[in-house]
Amino acid sequence: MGQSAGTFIDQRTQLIDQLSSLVDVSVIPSDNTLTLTTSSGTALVAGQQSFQLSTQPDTSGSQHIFAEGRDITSTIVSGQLGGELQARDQQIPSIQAQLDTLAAGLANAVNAVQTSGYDLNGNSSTKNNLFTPPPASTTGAAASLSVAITDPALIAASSDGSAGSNGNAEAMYGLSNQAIISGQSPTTFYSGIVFNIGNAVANTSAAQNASSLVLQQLNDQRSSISGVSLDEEAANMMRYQQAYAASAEVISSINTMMEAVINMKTS
Amino acid sequence: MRINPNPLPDLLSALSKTEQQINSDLQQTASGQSVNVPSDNPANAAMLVRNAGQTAEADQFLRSISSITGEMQTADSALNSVVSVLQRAISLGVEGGNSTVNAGDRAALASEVQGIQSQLISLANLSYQGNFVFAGTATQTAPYLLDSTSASGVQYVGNSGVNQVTVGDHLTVAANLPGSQLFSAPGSDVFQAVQDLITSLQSGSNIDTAISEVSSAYQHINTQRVFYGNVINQLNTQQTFLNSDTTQLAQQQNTLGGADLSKVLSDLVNAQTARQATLEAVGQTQQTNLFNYIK
Repeated sequence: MGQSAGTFIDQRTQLIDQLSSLVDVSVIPSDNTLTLTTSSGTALVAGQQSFQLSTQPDTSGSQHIFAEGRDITSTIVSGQLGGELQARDQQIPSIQAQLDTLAAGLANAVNAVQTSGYDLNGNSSTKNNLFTPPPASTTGAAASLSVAITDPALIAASSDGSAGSNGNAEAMYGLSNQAIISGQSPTTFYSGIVFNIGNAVANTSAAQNASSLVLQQLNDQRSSISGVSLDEEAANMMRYQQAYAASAEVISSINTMMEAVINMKTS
Repeated sequence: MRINPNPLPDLLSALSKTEQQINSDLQQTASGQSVNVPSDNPANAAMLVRNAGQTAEADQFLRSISSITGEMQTADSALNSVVSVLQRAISLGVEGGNSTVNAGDRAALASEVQGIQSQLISLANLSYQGNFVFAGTATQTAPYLLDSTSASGVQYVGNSGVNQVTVGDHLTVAANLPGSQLFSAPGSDVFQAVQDLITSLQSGSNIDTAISEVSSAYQHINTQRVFYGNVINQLNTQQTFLNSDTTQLAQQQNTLGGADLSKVLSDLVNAQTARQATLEAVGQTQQTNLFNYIK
């Protein structure tokens, strides 16, 4: 006996539901089948055929998504996956780049002052950077920021070579109010980063709130049509039971009538 | 109109919202801060960063002030002693210049002035926390050495360096006077004057010239001493300012990031009431339906 297709259609709808929370998908129904693509047009299901996505790491170790050998990572812009990709590939790298700029700017400026002074022993510090010089591209500067000297006596506090001079230490202090990082002082630049992060998170939370309200509204609307109301079902059941009882009555009346007719003949 | 027969998801989402509110209120109450993460208030978070920078700077200024004030006061009291020792030298000179004093008495006076000379050397080699105060920036070695080949009897091995210390926004003070400017200033060289006084007392000639030399050295030290008094005053004023500045910054920090406890607590109570109400609503949903009445 053939099963009703309804169960399978429900199952399919649920699976599409799950999939669309991950990526933005478009559903194109045809007679008996449907075609499922990502919103940018990469086919996922066409009729009887499904196309599996795969991942491969790039040189930096980040996973990229491939469909039929094509890198579609940048085309996934919404859904949970789109959000995570955006955070991983755009927002976090942009903040990292700002931190790198800060770290590199600070290290280079301090090193410049350090190498122009004299250490506690009166030696010129030309070759003794305070920080390990950051990479010229500044990429990774914040992660690799480290103090290059281990002996505190090598800090070039002196500007004239004598141990009691503080001229160079004063010059290092002076950096705190100089526009040494993209035209800003280190504190101003850093507070800018803090603002950017805070603002991005606050905006995202607000957007998430708004989206979840919209989602809730849509779910409500859908459920108001497709949701199962026990009252309704009970009423329907009573209706069918009554119809059943009524039909049974009809059958029993017919039966009685038939009996009477048959008895009339034999008697 | 048919309504959604299953309100549970809505109620659950309301529950999670009130729970979030409760958590945030509890966090604010516990930390006393309304800005616990930058996203709580990005603009205030950024200002708090700058506030922390300014506070740290003010703290450092205060530490610098207390560190140099100690040194300055020590130097000032040493110069005070120098002044009184020089006064004594002048009166010894005047005594020696008296025509009634014989050679033996003058020799005794000369040896007392020699004692004064060693006292002056010791004062000029004053050290504070391991640093020689009157050595310019060459603070690791005693600036004055006895040197019989030198006309003044001593040799200055310090330098003429002066440290500038920042003690406020765009406010720097000189933190020391080098010996070359104090004791060995050309024309008012303290050691030269005292040496000349000793020589003249021993020989009995040119005593008056030597006394006027010591007097001018005495005047010079007295004038230079004003520097320390001035800087100490300036530092005291600056310290008072910085203390009130730190209080100001702490107040500002509280305004920017402190939790308004009465508001937070009333929010907390509201959220808890709302949560209780929602929970009861969840408990009430669909306890009965038509099936309960079908027999």
